[in-house]
Amino acid sequence: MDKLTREDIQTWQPGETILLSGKLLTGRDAAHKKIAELFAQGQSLPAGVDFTNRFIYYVGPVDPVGDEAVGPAGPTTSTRMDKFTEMMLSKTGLLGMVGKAERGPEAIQAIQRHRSVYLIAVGGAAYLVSKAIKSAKVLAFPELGMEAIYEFEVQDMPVTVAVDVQGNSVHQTGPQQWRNIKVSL
Amino acid sequence: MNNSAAIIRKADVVASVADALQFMSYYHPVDFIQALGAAYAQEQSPAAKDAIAQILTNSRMCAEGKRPICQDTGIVVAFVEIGLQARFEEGADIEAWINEGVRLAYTHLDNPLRASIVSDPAGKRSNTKDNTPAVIHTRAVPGNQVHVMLAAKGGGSENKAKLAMLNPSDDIVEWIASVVEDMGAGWCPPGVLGIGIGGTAEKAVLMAKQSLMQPIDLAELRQRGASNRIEELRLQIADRVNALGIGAQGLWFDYGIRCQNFGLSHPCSLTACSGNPQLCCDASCTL
Repeated sequence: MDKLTREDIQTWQPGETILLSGKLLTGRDAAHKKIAELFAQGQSLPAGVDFTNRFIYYVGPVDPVGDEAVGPAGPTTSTRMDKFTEMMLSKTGLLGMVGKAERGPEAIQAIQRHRSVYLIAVGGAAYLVSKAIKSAKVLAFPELGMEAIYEFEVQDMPVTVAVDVQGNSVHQTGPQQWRNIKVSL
Repeated sequence: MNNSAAIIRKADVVASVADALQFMSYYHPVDFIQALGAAYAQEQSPAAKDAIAQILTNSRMCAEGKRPICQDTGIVVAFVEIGLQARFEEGADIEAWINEGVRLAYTHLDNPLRASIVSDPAGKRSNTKDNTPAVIHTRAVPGNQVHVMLAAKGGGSENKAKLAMLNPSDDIVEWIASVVEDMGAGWCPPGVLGIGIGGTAEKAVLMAKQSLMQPIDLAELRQRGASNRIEELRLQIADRVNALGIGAQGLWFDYGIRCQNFGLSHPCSLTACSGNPQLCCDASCTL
């Protein structure tokens, strides 16, 4: 991911599975709110935090123990960050986002407008995902605890393209395709 | 009259609660794993199959590594039944004891869990650092025993809880289907829906939450067939919701549901979740 450009992500297809390696920044509700407040006050991002051509991972991890880089760190529900998506994509140079669950229309439009992507990791596989995280450090907002902005270095973190640069969302096309197939358990 | 009931002590309640919460953080219940295994076998969408495989692999790794199944280790919900003949040591405060157990579990040195609770939710929202306070529901019952049933309920699923006041002629199954459709994937399907029907608004929601604690037996029910209205409803809801095609992680799913009926009016609430079955999203429908 460290050399990824906007041109690279243009060809990513919805449903495509990818292994991510490199550095990710994290953040969820409280961090986004703080960023919005900083921008509203005419200030810039905290020192050391630069989203240019980076991905953000929506996560609030468990603290590490022993030789873990970080404890279980699966994705949180991205829909809650929909209202911050335009801000992040237009003002921070953010390339894409990783989370879980569907994005709403507001976020999908922002993704289309900025030719960005949204990837999903599997919720409920948090320990497995954390095995892909080789190092973790807090970059900003330590007072937020698990909601701080971390930098994770990942290796082969499995994700799926959920919204491509054209705004096609697997959470819409998936159910349409599988609707009404009868399964009895 | 039997006065030989043991005295219930703080140390025992605290240790039991702490041990239970630690246990729950890294073990799925067997019935959930079996249901998920069956879902994997039947799943036809490759993306959803992959998601279920990751969840099952993760579950095994956590059982072996004794680390949490999900980064969201939940809000603790306790259902407490206190026997009116139970005896307690001096100065007993069962809520404080339960919260002490939560504190110990969540700040455990070898397996720390995530502190997800804030105080002053409408104001400063400061993390309480030890995941207290728990949400505690208490009933006074006959007998001399105390039962505590614990759930570590994840936020993703809790955020999906829905309540409705339906009319007697409204279609419960259709309401549930429309709610599940709108719930999206934030509750990590595949999972369990808990439904409460009847009583009053708060009773319906409580019943839905409680219904999540029951064993997963939809497959057995389907095999033996429904023998009462509630079982019929369970099967109808399961079929209707599975036909939505939402799936594992929003891509396809099956789920088990349980439903309790109770009264005459129609509040309905709903909760669900998968990462930790006790974290199930409750859709409580109170009828």
